[in-house]
Amino acid sequence: MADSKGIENLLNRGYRYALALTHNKDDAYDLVYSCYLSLREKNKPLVITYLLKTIKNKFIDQKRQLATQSKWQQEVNQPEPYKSKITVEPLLERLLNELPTRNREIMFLSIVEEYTSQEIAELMDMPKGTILSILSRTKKKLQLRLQE
Amino acid sequence: MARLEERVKNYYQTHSLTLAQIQVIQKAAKPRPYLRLWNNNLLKYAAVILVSLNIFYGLYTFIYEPNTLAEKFAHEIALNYKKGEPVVIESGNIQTLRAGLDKLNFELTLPPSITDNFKLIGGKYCSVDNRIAAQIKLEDENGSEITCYVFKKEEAINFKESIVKEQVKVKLWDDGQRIFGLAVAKK
Repeated sequence: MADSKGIENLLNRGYRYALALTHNKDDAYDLVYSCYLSLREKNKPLVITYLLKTIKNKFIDQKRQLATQSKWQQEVNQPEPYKSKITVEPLLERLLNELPTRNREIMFLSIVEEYTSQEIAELMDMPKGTILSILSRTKKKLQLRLQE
Repeated sequence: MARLEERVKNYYQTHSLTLAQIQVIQKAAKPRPYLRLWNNNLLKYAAVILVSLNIFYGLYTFIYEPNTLAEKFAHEIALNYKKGEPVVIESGNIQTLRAGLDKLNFELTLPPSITDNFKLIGGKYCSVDNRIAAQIKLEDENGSEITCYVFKKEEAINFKESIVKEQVKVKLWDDGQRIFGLAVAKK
């Protein structure tokens, strides 16, 4: 089993990935919390690939559940827009928030986790070509907006 | 573009769980010692113990218990036999005995192994293991007396054995509905 420093690192990587998906600190914390516990209970290996897959699946399940809720329930449960206390990149933060979840996720996996496009394609169950296309378009769009 | 990637990377890496949050998660994930034992070994031990108990109970029911019951029956029959009480209904006819011992909770019959080899003298009530029984006195071809005890079978197990108790040889068997105990003094 990983040592405590390794676990801390694992949890933080999982948290950042969950943040890339949800763009909400509280939701990201809940995701990594429940998914890490799930891995421990099922005696799954405590490695980043398992944690990221678990987080992704849980996120998708939550989105599906949200979609089946009635309109008023959705309004009540709608998460508040993410507002970071770290203001060094307020523009970047806003632009990332505006991205579709899928685009933001691919950006995160490529840039932060340094996954290859093949690895991203396998994790997200999408064609490699699509991953490359989305990544390229998203980077260009962000670059343009940041230069404005 | 490299600048963008660097900015995105730095942005996410500035976001980390607090120490308190990490401790909460780790504490929640840590199994309690007895739970770990439960998950890892106790279930296996419990299963082994349960299986062993079942095997033991099965052995007890089918081997030991019949022996103890048979021993118990034989002991009572032997004690009763040694009392040497006389018959109450003297008759060589089983129907007469049946009519006279009408309080029995079973139909009084004697198997061919008895009727073919012994002459009926008479009978009386007695009890074996608190069960109402018929004590039938018989005589062999040499005039030697032998006593047959008949009582209702209440067990699923079968009886077929000879036991010596109190210097009395008791042969036990059953026909599914009745238990027979043939008692003769051991020479």
